[in-house]
Amino acid sequence: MRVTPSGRTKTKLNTLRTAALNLENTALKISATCIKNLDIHLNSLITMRDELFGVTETNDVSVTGQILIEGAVEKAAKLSKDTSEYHKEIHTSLSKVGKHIDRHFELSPAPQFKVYCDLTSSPRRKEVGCGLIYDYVMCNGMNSVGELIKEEMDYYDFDVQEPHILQKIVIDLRVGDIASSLEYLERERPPEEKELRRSLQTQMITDCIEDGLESYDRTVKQLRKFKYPFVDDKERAALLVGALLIGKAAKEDARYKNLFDSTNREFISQKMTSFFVPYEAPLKNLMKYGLRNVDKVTELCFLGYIGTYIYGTELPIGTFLNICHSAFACPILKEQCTETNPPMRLVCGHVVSRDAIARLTSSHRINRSASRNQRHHRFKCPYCPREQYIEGARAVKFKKWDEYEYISDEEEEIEVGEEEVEDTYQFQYFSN
Amino acid sequence: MTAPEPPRTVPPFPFRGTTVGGKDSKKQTDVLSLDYCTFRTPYEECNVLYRNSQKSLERNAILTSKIAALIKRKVNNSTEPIAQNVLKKHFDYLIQQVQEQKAEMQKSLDTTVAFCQKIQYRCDKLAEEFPTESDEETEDEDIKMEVEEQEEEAGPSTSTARPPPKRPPAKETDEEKWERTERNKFARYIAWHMLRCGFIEPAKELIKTANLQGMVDVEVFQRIFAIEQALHQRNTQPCIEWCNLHRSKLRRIGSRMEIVARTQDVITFIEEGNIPEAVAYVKKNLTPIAKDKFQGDLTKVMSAIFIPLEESKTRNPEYHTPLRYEETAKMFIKEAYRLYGLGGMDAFETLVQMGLASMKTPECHADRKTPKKKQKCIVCRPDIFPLAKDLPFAHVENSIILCSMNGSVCDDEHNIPFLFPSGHVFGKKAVNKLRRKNGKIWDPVHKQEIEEDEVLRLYFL
Repeated sequence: MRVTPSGRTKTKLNTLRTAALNLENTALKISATCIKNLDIHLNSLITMRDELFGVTETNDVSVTGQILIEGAVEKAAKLSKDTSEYHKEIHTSLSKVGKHIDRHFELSPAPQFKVYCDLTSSPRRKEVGCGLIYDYVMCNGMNSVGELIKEEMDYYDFDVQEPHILQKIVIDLRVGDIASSLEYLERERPPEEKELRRSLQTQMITDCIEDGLESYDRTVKQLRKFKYPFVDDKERAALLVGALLIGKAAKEDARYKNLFDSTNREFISQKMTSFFVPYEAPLKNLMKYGLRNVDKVTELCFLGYIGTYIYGTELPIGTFLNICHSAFACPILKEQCTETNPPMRLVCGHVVSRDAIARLTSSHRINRSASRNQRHHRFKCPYCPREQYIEGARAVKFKKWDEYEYISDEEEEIEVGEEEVEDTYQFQYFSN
Repeated sequence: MTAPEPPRTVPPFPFRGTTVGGKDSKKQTDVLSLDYCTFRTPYEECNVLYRNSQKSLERNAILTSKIAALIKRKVNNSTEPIAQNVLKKHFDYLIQQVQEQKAEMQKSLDTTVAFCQKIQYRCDKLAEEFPTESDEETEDEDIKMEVEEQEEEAGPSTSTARPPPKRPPAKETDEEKWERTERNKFARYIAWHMLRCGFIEPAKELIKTANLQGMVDVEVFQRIFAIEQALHQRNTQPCIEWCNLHRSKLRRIGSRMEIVARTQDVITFIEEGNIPEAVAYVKKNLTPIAKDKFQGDLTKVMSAIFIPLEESKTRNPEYHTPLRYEETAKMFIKEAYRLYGLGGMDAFETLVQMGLASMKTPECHADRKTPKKKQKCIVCRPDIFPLAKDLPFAHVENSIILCSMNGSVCDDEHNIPFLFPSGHVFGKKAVNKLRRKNGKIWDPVHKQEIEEDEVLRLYFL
């Protein structure tokens, strides 16, 4: 039967747990016997001392006493030795636990790139990492943590505005309370106000439908608090009321289905937090997709499809989440086009990468007897019947055009260069 | 699936090894490896305490047997009473030894049991983060049954067309629970990362707010950073004590930590001009630890002692740099992490790196022009980009084309993409805005009017 990844992880954890339990039992067993024996003997030793070395007439130890002592010290020595032997026995179980850990939880997780992502050792990198964390904790309502991070890093320009309001909004939103968000919108009136208000209220109502009657009062109260909702969107209002009437069944109903958008909540909280933090809380996404992909890649590794090291120019798994840039994968090579392999528009309008065109032309010679360098630059579009010359193709740029686009990129390169390796020791001596 | 009740003996791990970690490696790398430190750190702690206990127990046992032999010799074959004071001292000492033995044993067993409970607790907690097996199995079975039904009804041809089974059940069935789990997970990774950075207080606060008690070993890091601080204050004593405690492990990983730390003390003597003291120190402390493996270090220290200070300064600049304690502290942190198996990238760093790679496009660059507030792409943030510089790009299955002008998504229905002479792609909406009254189109890049037929339709597949 197929083993599911989570089934496997559970088995792993279970194995480790059993090993630990074993060790615990061994320790308890030894404790029961060994400590008890020691205790008993210790007591008899102490009694013996009190008896034999107490105040007597002669201040002597009688011959009988001597024999007793002889037996007792012999036993003490033996017990002491046994104790250390017993203790030694634990070692097998203990090292078993260690072996399990080393074997099933490898030091560095599988997807390894040729570069090392170091956010620990050099102060600059630490700062970057902690900046991310700071934004993250602030956007998750953990202000106290944020404050402490701020204290540790005095040179990062943290600029979260009105942290307390942010905290309230985040925590309220998590439990589905939109009052604080609405208050903020009312006060600040950001350009997206209307749209956000609408999403918030929709979310509120759908939550109410999902939760049932308990939250009904709260919903009504909050909806009434501010301007009449949905005055300018009657259609949506009607839909929502309809959904509210049907109740939970609305989730399955084709008419109301799209009101229940599971990404809506996330969108709202991201948008709301973005008013306070300079960036739109990127760490959460970064970690979320990071985790998801680490999971996928390790799974591939586990099954033996790919090695632990990722050397190529693209991840081996298909995920694309960043919609800030164009991303064009050449339909022939199935790779993202880069500067060295730019996309080209063919005469017929189809776009493929330059490398793909090169491959198309190289296979096409004038006639069978022609040598390789007499190659004809005429080729046929792989998607339509149009034959054409390579010269007709034109490069396509996806760069976002704006006023300052054409300031050279050179200065950038230099600055990036500065960031490099701060962390070398001044002397080789201090490294192992 | 074999997931039995915890049996008494450790079951052999039922899965085959892969090639991960070398050709014949039996290592089972998967996403659990992110939690390596969660188990490794307490193990290391327990192991070192165990070893030291073992040593002192053995020492104690030898002492006890020696003292027992002594007493026995005194009373052996004696036919006369012996004065109390002849035996009393030895007998008291014996009792003291046995008491010590018992205390040591008790201590060691207690730490072991505590460690086991910690491991079990962590295992349970981590297991909660994964969807339970029974859920998955039932779901699989449901799907299977569905498929079978379909096949019965409509023949095998439809089974290929059925939608793929829903993959991660927890994500969809109980979205909020998933989110909470994820938040916990991230909080844990972040806590470990902050500890590694030496941010003890924020980490503690995070552990408190995110309910992570028992999942993270704060004390280990507290100790490490206390030692580091001491080194910054030119006090090597705590560091040397630490090295003593972890001696066997340090030897195993071939660490020079103790030598470097002790050398600092020698250098202090040299710089004070206290040569006899320096020699005595080397003889007493440095020689025993350095003579086997690190002869080079030893010779170097000795030569530094015997040449004039000025010459030593030119010959061994690393001995006399004003930053030598800072460097030692840095080295200490590194070695300590190596010992605890925290040397590589931690989970947080791994996730950040992978996250960056999954968002990276060839278009990404360090964007210093767009104001901070308006930046949408995290990879392009100038402070982040260096991290992403040499990473691979995300793999794209469905291309997304954005208009160069306003960033709106181009598609073949509402916003058809067009190519301008400059090579930029503009969506239909943008083109409509650029259209002048005379029917010509304004090219904003070349800043000139162009004919309509110079704007070319693009087909992205």
